[in-house]
Amino acid sequence: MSTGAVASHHEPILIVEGLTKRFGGVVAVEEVSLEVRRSEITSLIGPNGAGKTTVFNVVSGLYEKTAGHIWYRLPDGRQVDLTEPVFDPLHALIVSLATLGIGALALAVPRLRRALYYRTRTPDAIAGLGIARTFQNIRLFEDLSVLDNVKVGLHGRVSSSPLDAVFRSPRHRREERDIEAAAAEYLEFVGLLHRAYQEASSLPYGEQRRLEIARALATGPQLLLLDEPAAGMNPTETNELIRLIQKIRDAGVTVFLIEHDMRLVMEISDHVVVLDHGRKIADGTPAEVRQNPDVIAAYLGTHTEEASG
Amino acid sequence: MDLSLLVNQIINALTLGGIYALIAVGYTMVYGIIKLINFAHGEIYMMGAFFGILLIGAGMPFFLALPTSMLLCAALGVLVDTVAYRPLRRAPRLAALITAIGVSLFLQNLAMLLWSASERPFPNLYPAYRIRPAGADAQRYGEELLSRYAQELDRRREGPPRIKAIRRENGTLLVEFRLGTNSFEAIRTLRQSRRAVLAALEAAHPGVQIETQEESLDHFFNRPAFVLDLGDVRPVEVRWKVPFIWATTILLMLLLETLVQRTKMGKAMRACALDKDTAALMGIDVNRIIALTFAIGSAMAAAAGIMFGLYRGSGIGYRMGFQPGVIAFAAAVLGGIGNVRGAMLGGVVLGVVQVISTAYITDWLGISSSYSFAFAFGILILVILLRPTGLLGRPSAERA
Amino acid sequence: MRKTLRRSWERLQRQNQERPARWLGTALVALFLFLVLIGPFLPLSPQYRSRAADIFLLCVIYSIIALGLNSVTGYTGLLDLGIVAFASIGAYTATILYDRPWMQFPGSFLVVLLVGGLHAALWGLLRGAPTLRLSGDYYAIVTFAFAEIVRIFIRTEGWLTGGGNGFKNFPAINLFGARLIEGEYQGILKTSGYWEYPHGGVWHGGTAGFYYLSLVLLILTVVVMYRLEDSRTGRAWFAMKADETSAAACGINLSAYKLYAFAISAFFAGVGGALLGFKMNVVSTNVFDFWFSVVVLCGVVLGGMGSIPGVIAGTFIVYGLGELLREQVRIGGIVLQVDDRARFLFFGILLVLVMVFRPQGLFPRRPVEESKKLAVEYDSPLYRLGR
Repeated sequence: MSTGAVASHHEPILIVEGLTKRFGGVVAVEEVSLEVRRSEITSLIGPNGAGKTTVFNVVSGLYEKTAGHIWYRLPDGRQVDLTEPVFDPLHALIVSLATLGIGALALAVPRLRRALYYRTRTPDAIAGLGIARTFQNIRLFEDLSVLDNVKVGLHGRVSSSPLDAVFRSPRHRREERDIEAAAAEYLEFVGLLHRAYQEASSLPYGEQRRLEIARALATGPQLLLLDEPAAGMNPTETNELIRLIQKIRDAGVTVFLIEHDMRLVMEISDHVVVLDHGRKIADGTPAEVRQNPDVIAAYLGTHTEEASG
Repeated sequence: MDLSLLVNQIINALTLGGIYALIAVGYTMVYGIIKLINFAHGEIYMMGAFFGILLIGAGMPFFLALPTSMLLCAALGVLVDTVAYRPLRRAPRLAALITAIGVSLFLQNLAMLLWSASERPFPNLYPAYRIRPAGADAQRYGEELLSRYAQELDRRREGPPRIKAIRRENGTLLVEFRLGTNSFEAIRTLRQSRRAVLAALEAAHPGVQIETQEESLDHFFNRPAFVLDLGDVRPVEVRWKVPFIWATTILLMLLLETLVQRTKMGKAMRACALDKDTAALMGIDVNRIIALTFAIGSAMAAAAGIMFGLYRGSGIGYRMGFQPGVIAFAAAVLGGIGNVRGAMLGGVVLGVVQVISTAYITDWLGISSSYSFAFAFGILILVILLRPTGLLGRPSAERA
Repeated sequence: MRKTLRRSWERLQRQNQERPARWLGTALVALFLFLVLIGPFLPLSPQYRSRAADIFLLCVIYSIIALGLNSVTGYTGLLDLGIVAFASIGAYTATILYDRPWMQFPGSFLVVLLVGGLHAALWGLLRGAPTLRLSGDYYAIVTFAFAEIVRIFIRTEGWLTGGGNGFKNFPAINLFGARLIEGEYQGILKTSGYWEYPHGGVWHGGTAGFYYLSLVLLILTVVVMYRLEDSRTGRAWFAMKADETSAAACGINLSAYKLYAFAISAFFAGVGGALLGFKMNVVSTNVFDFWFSVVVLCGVVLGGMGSIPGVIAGTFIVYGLGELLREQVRIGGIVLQVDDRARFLFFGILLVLVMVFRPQGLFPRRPVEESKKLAVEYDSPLYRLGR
């Protein structure tokens, strides 16, 4: 277990409150509330199409919510709503340029500023807040090397500009050295350093999963979202993965994962949330959830809807 | 504002709009099925126009040349698809787009090599000639000359340049050939007749100078069909080609609409547009349907090319496909790319925009009328940025 | 931990020593570089020498433009069909400025090149800003439409640009006292045949100085591009090209990095366009038309999008062959000459063939570079798990 301050230990790091997401008329997630606590492993389970990945996508900024809130505790202790629009300076700059400076006037009027230049956080901004994720279908940068994949993960942790790169400024040189050393360490952490200079797409499946996790860790998250990390893995690979996830948790990273492999879920989770048809049907420790009749019904397909529909 | 000018402009706009719509249909159908902006489509249109004038020039009647050219272009479209696009079905879309640019470059320059870089006129479709005795003694032998001329022509009535009518009109002879007659052949017939007439008259009146004058009249399509009386202002003449182009365009559109909406083949096309893989699982030969789409789109473009030549009467050149191609693409995007009815609507709207901006808007803004073409691009950019699904487009997950 | 790290690292080093050397490739590249270096002084008869230098110069200048195009199309994966807009903005800006009497000071030539590039970069940003969300075909169409609007503007506003006839007959070009291009000369638009070169120089009125200036600018471009590739910026671009969603999830601000690419691309296209304008001594929309973009793209695609050596090789092949196709070929008594425009026919076939048979190009980017020494013994402040 991590040696973080006792006060912050097991406090909620992410609170999803009444989250609803609709696509046109289709409701993917409805009124879902859940909590992810610091330094724990929380699992989100449910049958296919239950809306699990949708929750991840809203949290990581890929989708905009329809309703609800996602409260997130920043490392400095402040709490922010990830789904609230925030000021987007680049957008303001672009609009100002495109309107030949007229747009800049709107910055002075709070209401206009809010209407024109406030936007929902983009995925990169969310990553910057310390939330990293992996994807259900592995999404590596396939033609980049394994090392470069992790270096890309470190992107948001440094700040040199293209001009720094062109003139090889001291900042650029220092940062490149730091990036390279850190990338090597992240690779070593997931056991892939010996693959550093191979093409990412050439790795076997299980290693691709671990590379994706290394890349996500490289963004320096305090919360790591793993979307079906064990999908397609054989039992040996799954065992290795279980050890890796525990190692990540023990290093102090909070883990929130979606998984179908019940063995993995039951073995490592501190807390399990069950979704079905976009709604939360259960919430508790693995043992509690296993006993829950609704969960059993949802998984065995003897849900009440069959009687009603 | 000049009312008769406005009416003229509206007629012009609708005619051009119909032509753009015919081209746009091809863009939109191909995009709907294989998500490819077929950059070479404008060149198919150009090839269609060339096939048309070459066939007519070789003596083929217009109403045969039109479908023949459409068939040739359909074959060309299928050939382009098979050779250039089919190998790239599974490749990134960028690759197919670059290939399409390559095909466009190839076809354009092939046309230039084959048919020279200079523009060609549209051939006279419905030649008519006025024959008038000339010279100082015309009074004396004019009557006899004309009646002999008429006899000679009458003997050639059944020949290849078929004569429709021979009429006497106050001291002249009016000879009309059938629609689609090659003007070169018509002139040859006239020459032969004249030679025979002169020989006969020479024998009757030795030593007399005999001269005739053959005056080519405007072809049928260029003659006024009806005149719109606008009361106080100058009346507007509508030439035959205008209702003809409108009728043909509408007919082709109706045919296409029936084909896409009512036939089994159309259903297969729509299925492929929705999901090629599933369509293949349902037993549809996807490659055949794609080839068919290219064939139909290319035939439409060929028709548009011939209509354009007919309407303008000139300007058939290897570069003619570029501008209408771009405008038609803009039309397809405006109407909602992938949507056939949208392409028709978009074509007409852009035709109107082009004509109105040339005639009025640039003037009103105080800028040169050469900016009118820029308006089409401006609309294209705005539609892509603001409403990528177009006016009638279905909401699509993959719009950008 | 430290110990296992070193062991993994040594294992990696052993693997890398087994890479075979490529002697033939290296020799060919060296020969090519040597030829480019002595471009104006190839050991040929005078007329062939100047013609060869002319072709080399053209290839060098177009390579700068092609590298500009490459930084959007090759790095971020967005197809740009309007590179001509920036080349012509650069060309018109530089040549119009250089024509001004107050622009006659030592080094002013470099200033107008820079201003031309910056002006193009500004338009790159202005065009790029609204199109950030577009991808694929729609982005390509907007770039194309923008380029056509620029072309129509140039053709129409004749008071500034010379309209359809083009802007021509610039003054002689000097750089710190060295004569780069002689002033007005005739026969610019001659498309084939040979010229005499009175100044031991490159073509028409140009001198070897201009050739080497262009070559230096190309080398600078290459250095800049390599440095960008091997940096946070370059990795961000390649990541975006591979997968925008996961690039964003890695913390890459997609808008910002697209804008960087747009500005950089337009800048180099602008500088290249300006050089091209001075080289031809006429800037006209007959040269800067849609097919200009297509032929530059053709070189990039042929060589391999995203690969710096590939782009340069592709550009040299396309323009080199394109110029050679203009020459008469005598085989025995038969004179072969291709119609000037037929070169484009050849480009069309080339594009289709490359896309069908070798879509990655002739010299694709090698994704995995040879390993350098990793600083594994060093405690990076960036390595951190948890907060």
